[in-house]
Amino acid sequence: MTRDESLTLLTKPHATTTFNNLPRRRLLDAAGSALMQLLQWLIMLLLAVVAATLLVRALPIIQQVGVFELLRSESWHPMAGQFGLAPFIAGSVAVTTVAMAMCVIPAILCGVYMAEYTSTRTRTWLKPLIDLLVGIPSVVYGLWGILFVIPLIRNQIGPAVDSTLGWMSPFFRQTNPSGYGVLAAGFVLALMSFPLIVAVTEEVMRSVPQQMRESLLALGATRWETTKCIVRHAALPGVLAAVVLGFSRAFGETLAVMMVVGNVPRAPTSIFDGAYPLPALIANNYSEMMSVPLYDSALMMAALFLLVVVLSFNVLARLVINRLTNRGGTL
Amino acid sequence: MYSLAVQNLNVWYGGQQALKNITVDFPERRISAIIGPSGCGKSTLLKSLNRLLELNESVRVEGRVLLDGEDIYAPGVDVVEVRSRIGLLAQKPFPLPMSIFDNVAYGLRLQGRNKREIAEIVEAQLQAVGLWDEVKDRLKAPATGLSGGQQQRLCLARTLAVRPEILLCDESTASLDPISARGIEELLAALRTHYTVIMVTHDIEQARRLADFVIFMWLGELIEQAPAGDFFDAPAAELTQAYLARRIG
Repeated sequence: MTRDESLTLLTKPHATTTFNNLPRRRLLDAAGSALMQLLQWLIMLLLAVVAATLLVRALPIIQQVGVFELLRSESWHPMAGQFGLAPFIAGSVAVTTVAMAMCVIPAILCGVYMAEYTSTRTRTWLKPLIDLLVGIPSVVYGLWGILFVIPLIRNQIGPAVDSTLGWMSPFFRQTNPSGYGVLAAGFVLALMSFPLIVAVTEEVMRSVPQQMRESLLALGATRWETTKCIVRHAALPGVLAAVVLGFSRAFGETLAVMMVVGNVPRAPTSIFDGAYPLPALIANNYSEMMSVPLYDSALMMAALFLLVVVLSFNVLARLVINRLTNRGGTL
Repeated sequence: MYSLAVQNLNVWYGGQQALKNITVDFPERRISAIIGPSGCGKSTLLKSLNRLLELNESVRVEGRVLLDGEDIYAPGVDVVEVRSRIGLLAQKPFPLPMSIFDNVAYGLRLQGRNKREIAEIVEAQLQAVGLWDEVKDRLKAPATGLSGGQQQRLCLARTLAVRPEILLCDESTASLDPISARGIEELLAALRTHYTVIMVTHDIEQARRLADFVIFMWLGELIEQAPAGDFFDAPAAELTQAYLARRIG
């Protein structure tokens, strides 16, 4: 093409109409958005269907006993028709609280450290390692709990805590010499949530623009002051989301907990007590004792409760996060 | 007072040399403009002056940058102190994600000043950059809601509030509309007698309007440094003549 020809091409009006594939492109565009919209609604539908199924199956016992009675009652005697879920709820709350108390702050600090302090070289091997920890199957964590954590609690931690803190509060008394219990489950859950919170925190911190770091440092802020400001004003919503993810994982984790928690249907009063969190209850008993009237319905109720708690926790977190984001990061 | 000088500065990004043996003396209480085409090392030179360059791990620096006769790259130098003495106004305005007031107050709080003092300085500083009347009723509003030009003036107020001795400006008007850019330029001109200002610009006309002293760089090398009058009227180096005549660049 000569220069003159190329110039004529440039000046020729409505050059695009010479391409007649526009209808096809429009169609693809429309089909693409329709498909993605459909998938999005399917996901919403999935949630609705799961919730509806649980509700329908739990309805018999709700109608007979009532939601509040079920959640409040402490007596779990399926043969006698008593299905109090309170001990299991207490078990879930206990193990999750212990787990979160152990892992949230170290995990956030670790994520912040990885994002702000480590060199690129360290990060290139540390980050895949953390991601790998997120992906380890829970049964492996459970086994490790049995082989390592339980003997440790039984022989070292238990006696030590009992003799130092035990006389101050029944909460720290070694009531259970086996080692299986809330502390063991909390420890294993903490280990499982830890890498998740670290990975998300790191991700969130890295997504803060480099210019914010430069601006703060240029104002004469130290590294710690810079990091603090970034966490407080830019990364806090994301860090909160990381904690909620960790919580959801801990609250819903079944297998690893089941292996180390002792499965005792009684509300724990000490961190060494055996407990029986809701997911473990469902997994252990569903399809086993279905001949007992209302048993299946009670388990569905437990599942529904789990779903509602995790869902409302997430919604609550989302509200807080939105509020934070709208206020430019300050509470 | 507060003089800044560079001696035999070499900077590498990984294996690539970005600055080659730069030696320059920035006159105090004057505006020095560093000009040159994209990629010639102007921003690298500027960021080496307050050690922000070392945020990039692949960077290696050799040579000396003397602030009042003391090398800021010497071992044992407190980099935080260096940075609080040398302020930076970035290329793109970046308001911190907090309120307008807190943006200016942040550096003052780090210095441990009391509340009353902070309020006074913030107001004075916002007045100085001509932003006070526009924002005095919404000091608590997020700074991100300001326009680009307002944001850059806020950033200037924030930088000056901590009372640096030297002000670095990295193409600070490049991302602004012409009127806002003019506003920033006027502010810089007004600062001339109080601060040592070192600005990077790729706008020759801006350098002509503002600078007292001009440094021309080309591919990592310092080609010419001269008082603005001499530089623009009678450039010595052939490359400078070609650049000013817009034959290269």
